[in-house]
Amino acid sequence: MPMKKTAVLLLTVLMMCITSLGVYAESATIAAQVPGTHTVTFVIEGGKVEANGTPVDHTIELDRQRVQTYRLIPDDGYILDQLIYDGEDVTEQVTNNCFTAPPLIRDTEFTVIFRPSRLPQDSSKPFPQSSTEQSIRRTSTPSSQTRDANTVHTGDFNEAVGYFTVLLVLSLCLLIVLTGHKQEKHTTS
Amino acid sequence: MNKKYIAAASAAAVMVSMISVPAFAVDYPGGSQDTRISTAIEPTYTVTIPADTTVAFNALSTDFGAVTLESAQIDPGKAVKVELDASGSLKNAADADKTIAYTINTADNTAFTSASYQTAGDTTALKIDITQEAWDAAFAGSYSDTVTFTVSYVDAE
Repeated sequence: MPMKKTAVLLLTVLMMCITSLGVYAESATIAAQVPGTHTVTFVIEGGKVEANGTPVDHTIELDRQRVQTYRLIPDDGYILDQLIYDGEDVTEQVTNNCFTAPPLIRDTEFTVIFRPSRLPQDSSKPFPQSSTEQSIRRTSTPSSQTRDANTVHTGDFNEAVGYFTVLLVLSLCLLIVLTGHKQEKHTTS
Repeated sequence: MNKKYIAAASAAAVMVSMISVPAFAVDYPGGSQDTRISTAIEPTYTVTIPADTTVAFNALSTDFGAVTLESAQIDPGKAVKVELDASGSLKNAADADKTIAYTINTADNTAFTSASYQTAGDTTALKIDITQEAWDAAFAGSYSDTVTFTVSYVDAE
C-alpha cells in the first residue's frame, strides 16, 4: 500500500511539472559548401605562360589554396611589360621570368603583357623622331608598327623630291647664265 | 421454478421504476441573489522560426528568415520569449576541427540571442554573417551547424 501511494504521488508531481513548463524548442540547420578547386583565367599578349612546364590555355583548374609558380616566356624580341594577378599589379614580384602566386582561394584572372624590347628602325626617316611620336610608337602593337615603304608621311624625305630640287636649281643656274650671256651680246653689239 | 424467476424479475423491475432522484428546493427569503460565473481561457500563441538555410560560398551576409509571433492570445503582463542557441561555428563534415565562424545578427547588425513578443505580428528579421577572412581561410568541403530556438511563456519585462 505504501508503494502504491508513493507511485501515485510521483505521477502527480510529474504531471504537474510537465503542464507547468510550456517550453518548446525547434532547430534549424545552416549549411555551406567550400569548393575544392578554382579557375585561373589567362589573358596573354606577346608571349606565353607555363605552369609546371606546360603552356597554359585560356583557363586552368587548380586545387584550392594551391601555391602555383608560373613561368613567363616572351616571344622573340619581347620583354615583360606588366603582370596583373587577381586585380593587383604584381610585376615587381616577377624574378627570373617566374611568378609565384599566393594560395588560390577564389576564381582569379591572370593578365600578362609583353612588349617589344626594341622599336623597329625606319630608313626613310633620317631626321630625329620627336618624343611624342616615339611614345605613340611604343604603345602600339607590333603589327601596326610595320609601315609601307612606299607610303609618304609628314616629315619624310623622299628621294624623288631631292632629285627634283637639284634639277630645279640647275635649271635656274642655267637660266641665269643664259640670260647673262644674252645681255653681254647686246652690250657688245 | 419458472414462476419464481418471473416473479423475482417483475419485482425488481417495479423497484427500479420506483427509484427517484430526490430534488431539493432552496428557499430564498426574497430579493436578488448574485451568482458568480467564471471561465478560464488558456493562453495560445504561434511562433514561426527560420528554416534550414544554405549559405553561398564567399557570401558575407545571408538572409536567415525571421522570428515572428504569428498569433497570440496571452495574458496581460505576459510575453512569448524566443531564445537562440548557436555555437557560432560551421563544422566541416569530414573534419570537425575545420570550422568557419559565423554570427546570427538582426537587421541592425546586433547579435541575436533572445527576444520577447507580446503582439501578434511582432517580428525580428535575422541574417547569417561570415567575414571574408573566414572564407579565405576555409578548407574545401561541406560545413554545417544546427541552431536551436526555444520558445517560452514568461512575464513581460
